[in-house]
Amino acid sequence: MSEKKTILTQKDVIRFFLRWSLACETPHSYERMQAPALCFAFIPALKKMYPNPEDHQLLCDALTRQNQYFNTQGIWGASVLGIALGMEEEQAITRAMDPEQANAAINGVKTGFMGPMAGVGDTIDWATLMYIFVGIALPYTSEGNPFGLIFPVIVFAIVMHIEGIVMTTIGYKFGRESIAKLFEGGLVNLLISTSAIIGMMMMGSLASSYVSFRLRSETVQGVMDKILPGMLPLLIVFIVYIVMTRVTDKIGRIALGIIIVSLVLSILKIATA
Amino acid sequence: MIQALLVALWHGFSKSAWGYATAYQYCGILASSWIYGIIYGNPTQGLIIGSAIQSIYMGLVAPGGNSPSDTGLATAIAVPIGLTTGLDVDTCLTLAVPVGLLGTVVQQLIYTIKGYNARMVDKCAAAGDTRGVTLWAFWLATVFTLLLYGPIVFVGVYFGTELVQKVLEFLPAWLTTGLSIAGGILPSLGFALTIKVIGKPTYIPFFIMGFYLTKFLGLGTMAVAVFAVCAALMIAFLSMENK
Repeated sequence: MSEKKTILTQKDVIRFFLRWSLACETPHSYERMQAPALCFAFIPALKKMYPNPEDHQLLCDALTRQNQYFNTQGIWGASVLGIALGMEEEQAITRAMDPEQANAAINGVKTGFMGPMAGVGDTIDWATLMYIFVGIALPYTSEGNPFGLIFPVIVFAIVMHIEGIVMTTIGYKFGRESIAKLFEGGLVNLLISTSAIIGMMMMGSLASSYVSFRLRSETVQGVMDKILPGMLPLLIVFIVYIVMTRVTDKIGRIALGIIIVSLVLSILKIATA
Repeated sequence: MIQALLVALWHGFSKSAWGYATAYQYCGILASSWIYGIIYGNPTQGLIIGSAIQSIYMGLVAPGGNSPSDTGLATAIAVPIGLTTGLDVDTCLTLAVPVGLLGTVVQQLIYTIKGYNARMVDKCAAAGDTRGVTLWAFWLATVFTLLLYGPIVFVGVYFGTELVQKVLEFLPAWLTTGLSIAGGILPSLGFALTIKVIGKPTYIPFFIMGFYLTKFLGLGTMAVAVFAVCAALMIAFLSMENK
């Protein structure tokens, strides 16, 4: 096999990620979620792929294609963007697919992967990494010391950018080769289940520190603490989870319900702060 | 007046979250509360209030941009009011919780409004107008966010201070206790949501394990992360060997 023809350089790939990262949440809407940001990120790369005026229609098609419903976590999800970038380049070079096929193939891959990658990213970046850094900062900031704030912010930003660029690059290479490879060997599934385990444990640990509930009666609370400390907060998390999965997924309503129940418990003098 | 305006500007800007990889840090609760502190000439106290707000929202993740509580708005209202009225930190918290919930309504509003931007991007994309895409997807999306959040925060901070003081004087004890109880329970919303989003109910034992690693042994996030990564890798390797 001969060396593959390429249009984009590594610099273009990094620039693509930085543009995405800059705009990612800015145009977030219910209708398309982050799609306009993706379209915005694609501008220089697509212009480079279709420089000739006679290809103007193809450029328009590609831009429109990248403004379809899209929502993911910006860092791990960047691998999906990388795949889309690679596929767009492949398409621009080979012109193997007609516009409709290209729409179906590229957007199919995007929508197929954006959810799982968002799940991985949310648990690793937002549920684990971020709270490690917040955990480092809090003891200092609680005393009003800003240095506890500045150091984690800078280190976290660097870590996130490295992660994002690596993800985009890996995705881009996959997109240029074959998407099928990602599915092979169940690598994706393994990644999802591994990050799910990490996410679950981190959430459990944080829940233990930050969900609190105490009965007003010291004796009853004391007996419960002897049996199993923290059983009421743990129970509360699972009750909320069951309500969320079985009764309603409207978070605002559940929050309102929690406040009403809390007020009732306060009036009846059952619980205390 | 100018201070309220600056707070409104910063909050409006932080809501457009420029730079995903960093925005949640430089616009987060801690950084914002420090900035509001600087605006009111007391960064130390601002950061102290902010740290207390951060600790009630620990573990909060916003899957798919759907946050169970608008921590940014809660910070933008509670910190300035706390600084100008000299309220104690606990009272600031009871203020932050309802404001955060109110913020989710505003969030729904802006997410609906920005659907218009997406449609305009469609138009520009179909015409190959890349400048138009940049304008609607980035610049105007920022402006709209600023225009919606700015006035809300300004009114809240400028008129809120006096109002809050008066209201707080009349608040009965059962109400403040009730709100504190709710403050203890509300974080469970974020954890339940994350369990739901992870979508593997069979992994709930790991949640309980993390819970008791901290409850019994008092381990911090870093230590639990070490155990979590090891547990995840062990299971990954075992399942690979079994294939």
